[in-house]
Amino acid sequence: MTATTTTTPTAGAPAETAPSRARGPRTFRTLAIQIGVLAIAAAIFVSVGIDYLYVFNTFLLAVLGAVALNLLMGTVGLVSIGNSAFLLTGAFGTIIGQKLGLPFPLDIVFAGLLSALIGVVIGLPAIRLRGLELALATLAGFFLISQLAAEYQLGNGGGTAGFLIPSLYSSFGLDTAQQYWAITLVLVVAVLLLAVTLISRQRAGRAWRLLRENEIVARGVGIPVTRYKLIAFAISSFVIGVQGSLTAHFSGSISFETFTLVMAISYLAMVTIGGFDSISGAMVGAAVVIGLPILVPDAVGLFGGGSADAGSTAAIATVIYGALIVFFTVSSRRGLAGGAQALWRKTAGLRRRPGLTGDEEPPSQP
Amino acid sequence: MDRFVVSVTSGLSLGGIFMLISLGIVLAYRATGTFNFAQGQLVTFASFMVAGWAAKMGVGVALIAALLFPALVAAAFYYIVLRRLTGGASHFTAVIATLGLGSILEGVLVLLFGGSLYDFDLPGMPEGTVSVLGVNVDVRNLLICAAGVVVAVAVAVALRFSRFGRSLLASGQNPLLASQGGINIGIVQFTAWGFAGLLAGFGGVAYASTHAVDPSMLTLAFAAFPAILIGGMDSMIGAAVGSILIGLFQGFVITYSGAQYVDLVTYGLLLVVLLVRPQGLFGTKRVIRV
Repeated sequence: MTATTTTTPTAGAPAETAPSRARGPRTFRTLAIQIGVLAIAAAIFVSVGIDYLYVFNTFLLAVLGAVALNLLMGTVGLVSIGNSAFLLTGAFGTIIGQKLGLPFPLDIVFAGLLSALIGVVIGLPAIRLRGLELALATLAGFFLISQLAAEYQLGNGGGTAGFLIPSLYSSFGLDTAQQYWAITLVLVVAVLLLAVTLISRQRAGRAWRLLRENEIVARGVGIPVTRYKLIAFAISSFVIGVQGSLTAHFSGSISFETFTLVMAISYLAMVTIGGFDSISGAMVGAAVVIGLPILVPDAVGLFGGGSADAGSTAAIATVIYGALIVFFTVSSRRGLAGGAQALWRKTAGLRRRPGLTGDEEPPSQP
Repeated sequence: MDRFVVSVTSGLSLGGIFMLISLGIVLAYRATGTFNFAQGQLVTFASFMVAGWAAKMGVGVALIAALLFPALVAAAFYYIVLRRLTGGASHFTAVIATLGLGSILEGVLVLLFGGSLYDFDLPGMPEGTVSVLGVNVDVRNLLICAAGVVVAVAVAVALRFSRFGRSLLASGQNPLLASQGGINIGIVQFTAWGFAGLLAGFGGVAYASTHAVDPSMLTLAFAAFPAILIGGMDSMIGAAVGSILIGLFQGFVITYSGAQYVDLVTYGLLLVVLLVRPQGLFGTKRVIRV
């Protein structure tokens, strides 16, 4: 923001200052809409009842990972299939932190930092190179961390069922706990959205988008490409680690077996469905991917398939994630958010000037 | 000495599996520059088809289905998806699309075959054991490695000496120049992807006729990626050598340290290769100068 406004006086021409003046407030308008939508949704889900509130809280947790992956894939242009590895690191970071005697909020920070550290260690060899190597490195990271977590779990009293930790707010009873969780998670997501919006609209964000579009040019204008990539990877690993830690506190039991490669692919699906480099898109994608497994049994019943059991529901969801990934990579890099935006422009295009970046949400959303 | 022989033979067997998976990946990579993350799922699919359907539909039908299905899927994937994405900065998107394809295949696989274990005997397959330096070794463990080597050599020779092979290498290295030289890139790349799928089918059949088929094969298939990276992403011979190396490496780790360390060692090795020699042993070094 500050960088944009300080450069405008030198540009001088009124035709140029008008949109750049409008850009500041609009950034925060998008943010305000995003947070507003979450808050209203939270209020609705709190009143609807505990079953759906639980799903809504799961969705809020997923938003953290989706926004983090979107920063990495959409803004910086690095492919990562490491989401479940860093979730696992975050969750086990909490266990380790608590065994070290860290009190409640600190263990989350510890888990996030541990995840960022491991992210840097895994990313360091690959990040000098182009995208594919990072995808392979995060895949390797997944198998490594999964194996290490398995050893830790079996060797430190976790057993095959996993570690149990007292889930947060559980003393208030089930309903109240879920309501407290909804409030907590909306706040956490709001802080994350604010931070990501700020950072990706400033110097770092411009550097990331430039190196995504053309790394050689980015080097040419003096951007330390490797450092910027590594920072992005560390930030996204940190956020996913925090998500993992919150997941541990949320569910109360953690086993390495829940963090699968399919889970990592589902986060890829969120970002691809929502649209690259769009925070709103990541949120929409998370809603679609989290909502699917709940809708699948009903949908199967609708087509006369009887009620699907848990195994085939998961398999059907896997197929649908894959199909959505393929569909949205072919049809458009901008996903649902981009499509909605295009529709909004088409219907009301004359009312405002087109924005410069892809991260605008149509204000028509509830 | 016994443990050494066991390590080597089981390592060669694993190496053969990795070879059969990685050859298709390298072929497709050479054609379009897209790393196909779904190849392992294609191979697994072929294994399940031949092993799961042989009893129901007869060996012949199951064999043909297992060989042709991956070829059709890969060719269709190229035609529907990759054709619109190849070239320029969209390699990134194409790789994500292959992950999507893998996800679809995995889901369908679970829906069709469930978590069952299937056994398949290819008619005419030799059985029993042979004695290697006093250790009894299942002859099929060595056969799969031989199958891998034969296919690797055949594909490498075909690429180097046939007209189509040279067109494929040309269109992979520089599509624009190749098209100006009169090569129909679309057809070459389509055929290459179809052929990579056929290799997946062959690999699947070879695996099914030497091993029991169950879903753990999906995880095993991922170890082909370090093999490719060690050999060099764009080298057929490299993929073959890398596969044997990773296979032997795993064989020794399993025999001397225990099976639980295989993943740690294999994927640790992948990270080390990325750090020390990202172009692999035989690969082309990508030099970007500013």
